[in-house]
This record gives sequence, structure tokens and C-alpha cells, in this order.
Amino acid sequence: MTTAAKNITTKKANVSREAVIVIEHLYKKFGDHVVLDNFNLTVNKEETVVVLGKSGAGKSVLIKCIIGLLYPDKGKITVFGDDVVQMDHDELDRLRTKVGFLFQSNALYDSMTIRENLEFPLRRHWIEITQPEIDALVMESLDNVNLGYTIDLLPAELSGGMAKRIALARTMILKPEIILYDEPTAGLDPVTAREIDNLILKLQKKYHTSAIVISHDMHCVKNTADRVVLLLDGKCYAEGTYDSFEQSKDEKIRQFFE
Amino acid sequence: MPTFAKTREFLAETGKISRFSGRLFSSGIKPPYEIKELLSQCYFIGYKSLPLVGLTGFIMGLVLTMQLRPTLVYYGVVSKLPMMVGISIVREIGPVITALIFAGKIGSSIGAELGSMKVTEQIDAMEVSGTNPYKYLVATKVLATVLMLPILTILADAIALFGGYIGVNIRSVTSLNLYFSEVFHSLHYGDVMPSVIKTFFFGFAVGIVGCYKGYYSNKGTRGVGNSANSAVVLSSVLIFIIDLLAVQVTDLLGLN
Repeated sequence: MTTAAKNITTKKANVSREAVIVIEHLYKKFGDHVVLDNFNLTVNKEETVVVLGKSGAGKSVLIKCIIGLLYPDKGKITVFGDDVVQMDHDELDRLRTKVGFLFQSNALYDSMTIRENLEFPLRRHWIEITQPEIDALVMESLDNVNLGYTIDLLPAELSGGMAKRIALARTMILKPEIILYDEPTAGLDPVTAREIDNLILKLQKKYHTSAIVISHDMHCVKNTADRVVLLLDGKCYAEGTYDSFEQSKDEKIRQFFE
Repeated sequence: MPTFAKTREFLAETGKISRFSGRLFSSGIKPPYEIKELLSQCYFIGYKSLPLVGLTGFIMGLVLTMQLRPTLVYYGVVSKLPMMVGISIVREIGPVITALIFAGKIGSSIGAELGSMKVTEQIDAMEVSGTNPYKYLVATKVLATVLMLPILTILADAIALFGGYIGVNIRSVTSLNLYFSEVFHSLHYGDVMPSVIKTFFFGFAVGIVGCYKGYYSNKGTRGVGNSANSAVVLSSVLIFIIDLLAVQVTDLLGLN
């Protein structure tokens, strides 16, 4: 971390809480391009950490490593005390019941209705659940995002904002303890983006989840972040609260506010 | 591109497909099994292909009969027409043409479907939902193609033989009973079994290539189009290579 950036790390939030994600010395490269270089991060219980960075900085790679969609070249990722890198497929499946992932592109299954999209994670083999319980969870998830009437529609029939809310409902349906948001407001108009921010906050409060939010939408960062981390050149360049970032004189931080 | 680089690229691609097939077997044989998805794939891959395969089979039998007839008339052996049609269709033309039609319809559809799922992160979303995409998407599709192509080929052969009967009756009058008794009299175990067995391999080639090309589709819509296109081209080439090997094997076993 640079000297200028260190100045804003005075107000770390929730440092005394139980850590749910611990990332140590993470290193990942694609070909000759180093994306993550000795990256460290800790996320505490019920804390929302926003990872800020330019496009291509490696933010999405970071959260894909956390959920086991990508494997780091070096380093350790501990989620609920277990090393993700060492997990086999079954262990990863069990972990994924506790860690949700909201994709930037929503990743709704386009050949399935909204009901089938929401039922899909519940119908996997490792969950013992009855049909009435599935129906109740689907309705609860749709009510959370106020889109109960879309249950029999196809994803292609939804607007961008609605698709994002449905994707959020699918992410929340297993009631995960950690949620990883990959640019939740990207491509949305400002009004819809604020609705998504508020929805994230509402659901975080309701289900007491911890979260990592990948974003460069400063309104989203302001609304959702307990703590902000700036990822630059594969490293944690700066860390602090939104206010400390906003007041920073560091040129590399200021460019996100201009 | 120099020949050496092309050869290296071809060998690398072959290695990747082999590894992909190995991963398919290792994940596909372990329970739990995706029976519901397999049945759904059998419906889409098998039942939905039936009209196209049936139509092409009928035309294939009709055209083959009409084109064979003048030559047989010239040599004075027109009575052998049902035998010629039967052997040609069952041993070679039926399996190969059906497999090529199947590769065009199903190979491209699998390549495009998995390619677009890859590009829109739906495969990643499945994995995050605790679903092994190899088991759910790849194993079910490949098994469905392996199971459905032999059935479609047998049906196509039957329809093509009926097309042959219509073809025979355009210029002369032959009863259905006489025509089919001539056809079946000329067919032996060594004609039918190898041609049915090779269709399992054709089905595997179409399924695995379609899934491989779709699963490793490059980003973007052009990548999806390329996946669908290369799935058809590569599986069609593989069908001919498998057919060539099958002929050699049946020859060695004395079944020709």
C-alpha cells in the first residue's frame, strides 16, 4: 500500500468481528498478464466490503476465486475457516449453499421460466426439500424483490432492472451467509441502480449477510459499503471507509470521484 | 500457417477433446445421475429429429432406387433392385446420411446452446448452484446422442426402404410383401450389426464435439456462431473417419 493510501486506512470498520473470508497473498495471472499480485483481504461477519477498481483490474477474478470458479496460482482463500483452494467438488458444492454469487450478466437460464430459475438451486441433490417448501421459498424470494407476477415469464420478457432483481432473488433463495456481487448496478439507469442498491441493503439487513461488492459506481459504493478496498495493479492500493476515500487527495483515488 | 504449426494445433485440439471426454466419463459415471435431464435431452435430440430424419430417409430411398434402376436394366438384373437398395441403405447410406443430418441438426444446436450459455455465464451460474455442468449438460447430451442416433438410423433405414418400394413401383408393379421379402432375404447379420454398432460411435462423436466446441466457446456472438459451425464440420469429418475404421474392422472380422 502506498504512503498516500495508508493515510486513509485509519477508520477500518468491524475489525474486531469474526472473519468469514480471509484472503492471503493471492496471486493469479493469465498468460503473462498478472491480475492479482500478493492481494490480501479480510471480510468480517455482516460486513459489506466494496472492491473498487478499473475495468480489467481483476475484481471479478477475485470473487470467482473465492467461489471456486477460478483457481489462484498462489495464495490462500479461507471461507468460514476452510481453504477453498484445497476443496474437492463436493466440498465446494456444500460451501456454495452458504455463499451466493450475483453475476454481472445476471446469468438467468434463458430456456427456463422465472419459477424454474428460482427452483433450480433448490432442486440440486444435496438439498432435501419438499415441493411445498420449494414453492414457499420461491414466493418469498419473489416477494423480496416485488416481482411475484413474473413467476411464469421467461427471462427474455424482463427488463434489465427486473432481470437483475430476479437474479438477486435467485442468489438469495438459499439464504446464503455471504454474497458476492459482481457489478450489481452495471448497465442500469441511475433510478434502477438506486433501487438495486436499496434492495441489496434491505436483504443484507433482513438475512444478516456478509458481502463483497465489486463496483465502480460510486453511488453504489456510497450506499452499500462498510469498507472500501481499491484494487490497483493486482494489489490492495488503499483501504478505508467511503468517507475517507471521498476526502482523500490521492490522485489514483480521486479519479473514481471525477 | 506453416504445416508444423497446423499439425501442432491439430494435436493440441485432439488432446483437449480427449481430456474433455475423460472428464466426461469420470464425472458422468458417478451418482447421482441426471435421469430427468437425460430423458428431456432424449426427447429433444431423438423425438424432435424424427421428422427431418424420416423425410431425408424417404427421399434417400426413393432417389437411390430411381438412380440404380437404369443401370440394372442395362445389365438385365432389374429383379435385384430390392436387394441392391436394401444392402446399400442398411450397410452404408442409411447410417452415414442419418449421422450427417443428425450432426447438422443436433451438433450445431448443442454447440450453439452451450456456447451461448458459456458466454452469458449460465454455466458458471449452474456451477455456483451446486450443479456439475459436465454431468448436467455434457453427460446427458452425449448419452442422449449415443442412445438416440442408432434408433433414428433404424427408423430412417425402414423409411428409406419404404421410399425404395415407392421408387420400384414408379416404373413397375411389385407387391409390398415381395419387395420386403427380397430385401430381408439379402440382408445378413454381418450387414446389420456392424452398421448399428457404428452409429453408437457416430452419436458419441456428434455429442462430444458439439459439447466441446460449445463449452470452450470464445466470448461473443461470433464465438457462438463459430462453435456451432465447427461442431458440424468436425463431427461430420469424424463420422467419415469412424466409418472408414468400421469398414476396416468389419473386413478384418470377415463380416463383409
